[in-house]
Amino acid sequence: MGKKVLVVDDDKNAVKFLSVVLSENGYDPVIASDGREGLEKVEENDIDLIVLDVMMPKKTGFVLFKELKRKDQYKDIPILMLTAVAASLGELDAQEEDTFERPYDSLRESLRKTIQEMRGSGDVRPEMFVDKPVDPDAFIERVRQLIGD
Amino acid sequence: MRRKNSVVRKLSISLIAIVTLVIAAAGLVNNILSHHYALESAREALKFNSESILSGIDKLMMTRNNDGVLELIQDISKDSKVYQDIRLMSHYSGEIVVSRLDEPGTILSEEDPSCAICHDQSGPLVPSDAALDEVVAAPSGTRILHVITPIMNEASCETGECHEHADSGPILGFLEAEYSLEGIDALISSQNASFAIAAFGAILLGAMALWIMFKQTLGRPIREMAAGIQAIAGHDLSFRFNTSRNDEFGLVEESVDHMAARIQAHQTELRDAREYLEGIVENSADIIITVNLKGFIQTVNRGAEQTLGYQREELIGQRIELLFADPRERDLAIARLEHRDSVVNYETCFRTKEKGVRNVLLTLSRLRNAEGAAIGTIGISKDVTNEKELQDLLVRSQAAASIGEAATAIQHAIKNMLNTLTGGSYLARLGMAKNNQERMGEGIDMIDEGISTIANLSSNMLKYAKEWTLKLEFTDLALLVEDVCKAIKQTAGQRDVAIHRDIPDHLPLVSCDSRLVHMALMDIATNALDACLFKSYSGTETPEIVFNVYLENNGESIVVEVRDNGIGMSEETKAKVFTPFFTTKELSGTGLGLALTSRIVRLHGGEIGVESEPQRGSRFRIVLPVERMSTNQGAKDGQESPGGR
Repeated sequence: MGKKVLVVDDDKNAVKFLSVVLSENGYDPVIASDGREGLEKVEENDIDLIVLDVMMPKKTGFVLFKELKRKDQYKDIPILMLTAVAASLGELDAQEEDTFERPYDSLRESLRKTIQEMRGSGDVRPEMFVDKPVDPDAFIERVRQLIGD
Repeated sequence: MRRKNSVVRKLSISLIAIVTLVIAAAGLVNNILSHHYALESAREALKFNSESILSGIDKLMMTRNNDGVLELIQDISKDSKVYQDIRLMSHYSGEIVVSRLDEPGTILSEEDPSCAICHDQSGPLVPSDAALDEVVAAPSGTRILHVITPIMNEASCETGECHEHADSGPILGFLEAEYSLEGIDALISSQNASFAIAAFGAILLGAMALWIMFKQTLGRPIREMAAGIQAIAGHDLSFRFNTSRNDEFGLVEESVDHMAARIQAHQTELRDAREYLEGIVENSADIIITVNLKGFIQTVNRGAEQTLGYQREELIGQRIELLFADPRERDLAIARLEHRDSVVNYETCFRTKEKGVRNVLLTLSRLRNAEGAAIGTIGISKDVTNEKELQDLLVRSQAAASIGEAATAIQHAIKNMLNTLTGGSYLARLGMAKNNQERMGEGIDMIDEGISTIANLSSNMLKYAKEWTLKLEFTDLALLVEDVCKAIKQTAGQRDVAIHRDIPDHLPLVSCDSRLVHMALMDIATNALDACLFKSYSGTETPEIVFNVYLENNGESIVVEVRDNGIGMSEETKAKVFTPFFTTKELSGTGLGLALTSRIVRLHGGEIGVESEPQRGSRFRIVLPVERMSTNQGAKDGQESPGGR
């Protein structure tokens, strides 16, 4: 059996896609459709890597991420964050506070705040993000870098 | 107005008339009595004279000295002014002998009127009814007193005891005398004349005295009172009589003083109240203008002068339309007043004297008089130009933000869809490479799904972007809600979400585009279902959605309320739910549903609102007007919600 990779995403197509990519490359995918189920799967299985979608119902990826980091037995499990807006995060990060210009830019703003907050605790690094649409080869390369074959 | 002293004159004339009548009556009585007593005196005097004459001639007659008798009578009457005529008549041996002064010895026939005085025709002596004295008128007009005095026989001679003689009757003859009453009448006439002159003088003097007295005691105080009351009526309310009179006039003057004092106090109160109100109006920063029924400006306050740049003299008397940037706006505002007493916060524009435009919120009310009849309108307008500019700036910056937001959201949605397509493509290729039909099928299904999501997004974006025409028809919202419940029933059942309805019978029909309202309600219902799905229920709480339909605003509005006990929204999310491309559902939503719903509601002249609390649930309210008068054909963004914002 290969290493266990947990894929947490509410989009069943994305789950299917990534789990096929992982199993084709010798990994053992475990799937969950939201943050709560993801936590259950982490507790039930000996997970080597978590691929976590950021925006999900019930528990967002960030919430699950923070919960895992708080628990000693899980805090060292490497995590890849899936997001459709990862590419713009660097740009966002570089931007100064310009809230008057964009008072209602809620989606990007909330992401930016969350990331800033997580950066403050040293948990999140830019290389942890995987941008959608996922390139299967680049994705497997990142997985290999983190946990090996 | 100058009036004659009619009261004084009437009183004087009445009194003088009474006095005149009394004096006249007294004069009449005096005249009658004078006549009577004068006549009586004359009668007595003449009887006495006649008897004196008779006693004088008695002896002469006894001695048959007829000439002596004649001489005596002639002597008596010769120089008398009183005696007109004295006749002595005697019965001689059955003959009547008359001794007239001028024709002594005449023998009268028995038919002579003189005989008829005592005798009935030629018969014996009878006690005649005829008076023995009477007043007759002489041909000259002078009144004559005619007195007949009988000459009685001596009792012894009457019976003829002593000797035989021819005349043995009781009456020997008689003396007939006529006396002129001219003197008496002249005296009475002269008395009457004196009396009349005296009476006239007395009446004249009395009238003058009465006139003066009435003028002093009645006329002057009445005139003084009239002058005082006229002063009060002429708004000199400080006038007081301060009377020193003790009579009834004093009482009236005191009452008038009291009345004037009270009116003055009331007037002061009224003036104070009016000045207070006028001060409020005058010093208000709002534009306050009153207009009469014909549309002409009547009053203008300082706020209006300052905001509009006119002096009030330039506006008063002008037509109110002058102030409206679009004069038709005034008619529209007045039309709204037709069935009510006020129109509140009507958005319009005024034109200033310098041709500038001020945005105002106009509150228009009818002015009514004490009887309740409309006499004009009062308009109180708040200048919101600065607020409007700020609001426009905000809307523009929101629009800019929305575009940025939408770009992010579209990028996000496209990337998710690309991910699906990439995944599908990967699976299909893998299936092809390994000749795995099943995997290939999975890949193609995934691609199909991605295509349909893109198509859906594209169609929604089209719907949002295009201008809509409402197809209005009278619709039973209860049935519409029923349809929506049926449509979501299966999904709700799968997710264990209970659906409740609280809809009263006999709701009025609403003129609306039922297809669009159905779409809007479906969107809210689907959101409610999702909100329930996203929440972890604990304890006894189970997911539920409640539909309520009820009337509001005196039946002028109908409300459709959709309440869920799902996941709820943060303040931030709530503020953006109606913004295009906003979504909390990373993949399943296009971010256009509620934006479309909001637009549909606004197209119908309605409003949509939401209350929500995280983890407690949300409540969406759609408020639609019950009566839609116009068909709102081809309504466009920005014109679609009159009065709404």
